[in-house]
Amino acid sequence: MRRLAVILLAGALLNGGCERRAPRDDVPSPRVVSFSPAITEMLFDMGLGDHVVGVTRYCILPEGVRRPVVGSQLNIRAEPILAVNPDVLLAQTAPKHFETVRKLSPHICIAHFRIETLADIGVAMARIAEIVRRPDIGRRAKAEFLAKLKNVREKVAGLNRPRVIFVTGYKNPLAAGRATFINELIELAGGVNAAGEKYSGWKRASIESILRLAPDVVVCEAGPATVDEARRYFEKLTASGGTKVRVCTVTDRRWTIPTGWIADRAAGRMARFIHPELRPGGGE
Amino acid sequence: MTDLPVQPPALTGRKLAICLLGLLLASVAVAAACSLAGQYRLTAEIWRIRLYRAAAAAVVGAALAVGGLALQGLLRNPLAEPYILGISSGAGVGVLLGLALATRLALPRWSTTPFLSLLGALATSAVVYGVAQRRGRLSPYVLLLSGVMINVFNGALILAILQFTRPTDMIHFIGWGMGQVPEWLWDDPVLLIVAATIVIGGWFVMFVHGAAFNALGLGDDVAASSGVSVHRLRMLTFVVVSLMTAMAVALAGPIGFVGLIVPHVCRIFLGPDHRLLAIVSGFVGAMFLMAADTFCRMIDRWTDLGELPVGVITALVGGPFFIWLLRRRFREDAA
Amino acid sequence: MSGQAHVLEARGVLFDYRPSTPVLRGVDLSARAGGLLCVLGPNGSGKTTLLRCLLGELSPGGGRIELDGRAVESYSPRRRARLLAYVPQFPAAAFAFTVQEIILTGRLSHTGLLGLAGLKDLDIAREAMKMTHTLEFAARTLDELSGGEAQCVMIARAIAQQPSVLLLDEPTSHLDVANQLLIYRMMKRLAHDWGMAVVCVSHDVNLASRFADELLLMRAGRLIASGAPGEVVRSEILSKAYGVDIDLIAAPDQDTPIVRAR
Repeated sequence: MRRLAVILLAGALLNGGCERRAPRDDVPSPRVVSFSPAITEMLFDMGLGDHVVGVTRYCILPEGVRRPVVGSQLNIRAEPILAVNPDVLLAQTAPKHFETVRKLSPHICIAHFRIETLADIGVAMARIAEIVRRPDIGRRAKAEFLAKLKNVREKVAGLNRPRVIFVTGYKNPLAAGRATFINELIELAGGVNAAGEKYSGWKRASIESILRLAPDVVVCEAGPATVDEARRYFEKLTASGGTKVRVCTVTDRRWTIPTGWIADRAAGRMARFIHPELRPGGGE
Repeated sequence: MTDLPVQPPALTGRKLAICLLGLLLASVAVAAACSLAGQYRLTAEIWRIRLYRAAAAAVVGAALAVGGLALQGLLRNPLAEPYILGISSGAGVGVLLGLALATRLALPRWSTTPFLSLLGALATSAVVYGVAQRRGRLSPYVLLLSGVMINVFNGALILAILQFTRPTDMIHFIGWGMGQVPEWLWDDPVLLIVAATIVIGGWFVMFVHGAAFNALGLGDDVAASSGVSVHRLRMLTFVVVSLMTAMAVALAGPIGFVGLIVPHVCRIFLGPDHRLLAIVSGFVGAMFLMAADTFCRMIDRWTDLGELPVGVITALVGGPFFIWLLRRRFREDAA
Repeated sequence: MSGQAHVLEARGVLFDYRPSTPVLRGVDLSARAGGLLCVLGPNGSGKTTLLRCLLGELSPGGGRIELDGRAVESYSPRRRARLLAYVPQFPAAAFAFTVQEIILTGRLSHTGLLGLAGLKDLDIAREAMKMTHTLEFAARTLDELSGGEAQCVMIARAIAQQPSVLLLDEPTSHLDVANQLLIYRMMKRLAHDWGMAVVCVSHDVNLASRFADELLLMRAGRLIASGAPGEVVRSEILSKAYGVDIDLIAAPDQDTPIVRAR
């Protein structure tokens, strides 16, 4: 009980808290509304989907699973939220947007998460599980998450570090600079984020800037309809330089959303993009 | 009454030709300067990319400037600009609809942003015409009102569709809405060629009707009695400006201020003769946007802000400059 | 300037904006070259509508309007402009055109592509400006001129078209007495010295009767009198037209009496 309080207090101090730190004691299986696609994903990945009673319009649910839609990040209304009678509300949006909900039902715990770095993902998993009273699941999920990342880190340890640029879209590419978790992912997977030398955050990069950053690997996230053109475009663009640049494309939007999926899929694939000589590991 | 010579001398074909040639040379010079600016290991490849980009900026700038001039003449209103016919808001509806539907349906390969923007723009044009026309004829007042109303309606449509759009797509849409000269035409110049053809053709048509626009400035009745087919000219202008503006928005999104300011500034310095203005505005618009776009490219070079959308630059430059120009004119009038 | 005596003829012109409210109920008009014809009548009698039908701007619901022997609708705007010119009631320019530019727009139907003015066009424009005393304003813009001067510019523009017929819509309604006199004298000269058929919709009975060769008096969309001023300017006719009692006062130096509403 005291450890729970300490963890939650720490979480609240780190990530901003709410008035009610935890669901009421007399609720063994809290009903959870998730106001963030990343958090929804984490809940279902950890097998805590039964607790979920409400999601946003943009949350991606597992195959065949349905949950009531109670709004979206830009459309926060108390009535649909309260209609599903939640005990807990998890969000990445600032708590002040849920004022009405709090006033109408002070017993609801509203927990705010900041999930921007890889470390945040692990912390969020643990905290989510604590809040729904299944701390052991959270601890295990976090440990697995960190272990997968460590696995990738070890595989690329000692290898040379090629220069990597990650962009979304190809006609108006947005490059991932410093202070994005893609930056961490690249570093983790044994590369150097070339765009991070110039930009911070996600910035619109001109062709010349991309070329001037002299990447060895370009990873482009594009929609399924345009992914082939995107690959061809970057291959043609980088063909004139002296060195051969490897162009890799991905189509899954989840590359840009920090969730546990990053460790499951993205980290390993990124490592193989950067170091194609690596053999695929388990679970990829 | 002494027999004073008629002064100043009238506009002649020779003057127009000299003007055309001079502006052509100036534009080429500006294009060259823009493509060479900020060279850093300037390879043939990079230079080619920059030239395509300058060409796109020139086409868009000319389209917007000439479109703005034509509408100002047609509606007898120096504050008219190409987007009042609903083109940009219609393009926005098309693009946003595509973004929203892409998550639910697998859209066909050809439904790219430029195509959707074109579709939305032309559809809106047709709606504005349908609303404004009476027995196949357009009155300036009704046309203006229809354009305004359809713009408002499209704005509401956009707000509605935004409810069904993912936040990431929303940000993408806002980026599009600020306008950006495309950088990828070196790889696939089809859109540029089509747009350039339409814009140059439309520009020529508007130039050729310059004298008729001059007469139109004296009133529909006076123009008609001078030999201008007013209704035919109105229809023609509507179609031409819609097409040119739709192509500009398809290429670069809705870049603001160029269509309003460039013709107006040219008019302040050169007088209201549309024959001269048609030539000059087009070139000045092209050069202005080339310079603004190069500036955006340099910002990415000098700072870590990334490329600013060129629409931001045209607004930040155009707005205050226009205000200064107007105030200078007020002071001259008052003096 | 034209072969036929009656350059502009209208027979039985009918027009309505809405079927329930007819504006013209069968009006005849005959303008001959070298004569000044004034159309008079109270407000709402249909004078301006008649003018717009004569211009070809409105399509009459019935009757015929012929210009130089052919139906006015059969002309293309460019060809019609060589025969027929128009002076609006209120001179206005949306942009700051100079007087010379405005007058040169009158040459549009004669010039080639782009309406570029050749030497001949400049000569004709100069003649028009001399006739209307506007040569000194050539480089000024309309808003710098007085009402009378601006109206003279519009007349110069119209005669630069070298028309056979000149139509004016209440050209002196907003001018002072001196300018009114100036304009009417100008119209008379254009008719008698230049041989044009001048048709002027007028609101001023006195001026019209003093200068016109022929008067047309309208009321409620119908012609109630037409002919020489002496025949039309009669107390009972005018009283019936305007709906007020009209007195005629003999003037010493003119043929027609001065009209005064009691």
